Amino acid sequence: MRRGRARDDDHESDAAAEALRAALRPNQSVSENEAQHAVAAFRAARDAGLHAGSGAPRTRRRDDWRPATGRRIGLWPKAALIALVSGMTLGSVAIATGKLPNPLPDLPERRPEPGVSTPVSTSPEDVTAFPSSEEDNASASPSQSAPSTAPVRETSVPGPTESEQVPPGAAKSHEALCRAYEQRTGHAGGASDATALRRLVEAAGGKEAVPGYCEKLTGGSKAPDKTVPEARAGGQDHRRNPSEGKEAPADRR
Amino acid sequence: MKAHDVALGRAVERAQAGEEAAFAEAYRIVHPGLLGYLRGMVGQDAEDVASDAWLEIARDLGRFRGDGAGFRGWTATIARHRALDHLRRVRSRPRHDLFDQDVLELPAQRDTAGEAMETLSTGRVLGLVAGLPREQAEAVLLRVVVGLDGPTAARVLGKRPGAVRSAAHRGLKRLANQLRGGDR
Repeated sequence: MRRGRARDDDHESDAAAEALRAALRPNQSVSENEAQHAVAAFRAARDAGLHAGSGAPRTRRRDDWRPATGRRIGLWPKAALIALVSGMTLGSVAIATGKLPNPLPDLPERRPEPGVSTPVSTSPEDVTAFPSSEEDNASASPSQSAPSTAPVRETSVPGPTESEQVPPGAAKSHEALCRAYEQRTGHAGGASDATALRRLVEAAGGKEAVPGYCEKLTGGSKAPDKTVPEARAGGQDHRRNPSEGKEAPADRR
Repeated sequence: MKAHDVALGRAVERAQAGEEAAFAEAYRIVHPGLLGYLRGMVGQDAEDVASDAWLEIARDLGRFRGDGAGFRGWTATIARHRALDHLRRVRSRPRHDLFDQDVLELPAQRDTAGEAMETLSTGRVLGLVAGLPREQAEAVLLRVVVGLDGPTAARVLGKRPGAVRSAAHRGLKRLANQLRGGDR
């Protein structure tokens, strides 16, 4: 009856298995002396309370030989729950940070809103406000992720200097993308990151819109740091930027 | 084997409840396979190693959880650890040295496998097993001599079931070839 366990259709392997069993398993009945030895050890352990009761040692993992199916059924719901929770968490983070597809048609509509509310500068105000609405979509802060314009107003109105001097992270990264894009169009053989370029095209709303988008973005973010004319010029002259310590790392991309 | 496992499972349960005769019954069911496995592992020292293993089994019986088949796996794991300890102790005298002579004295050619099998002594079989790579020898012993199923043997060895299955397959094939007097 053990023949089938050999899992070998080869007759000779079966015969070899049979020979192994015949040779290695003891022919005579179990030695009574040895058996008594083992039973005595059993008795001693039982009487010492090792088999049951409070003195019994804990079952370790290597002592648990219950059928795996029983344990796995218990594990599956747990694994599914963990997967679900982590999936939802990551998914909502991705939505909050704007990594998931972004409804771009929103951008032009919402652009003027914060621009009106920004009282500081005259000509680059639209441009300045644009990155902050970008941040609204792209930053990880949950308080700013609401699509209404109210939070944008709150961030730009009470502290205009802050919101203008510290360019939003997303705007910064898009700005860097822009510079990379401009460099790429400048030097045809330059290394380009296809994914980054695609992101830029997506953000601009089309391939043709990229130059205009970039011009606004790079011009706008420089406006607070420099004077207005310089910022205007910065839209074209991207080589000035590496000298600005804050943006140098992003520029290196 | 299945009927045996059911009876074994019941005996283990009663032994865990403190019944001495039930432990003796479990011993009688399990010991022949364990001893055969240990013979393949440590040769003539198998009885001593088995005795050590049974002391540990008797002591830790309260920790065990599982059925009859599980008890085979659990006891085989304990026996294997005792055997490996023993082999470490006697490493200065590798086990296959004991049997190389037997391998050389195997009958050169036989008409049928069956005819060769009948005449095999324990010593010659041990010599053949000792000539196998360790993982093949252990897989064959656990599957064939102890009678473990694939997944249980794999757990005893700490390997994937597929790896153990193919090791047992190759080991048996090699044994069969050698028994036939072929060129491996």
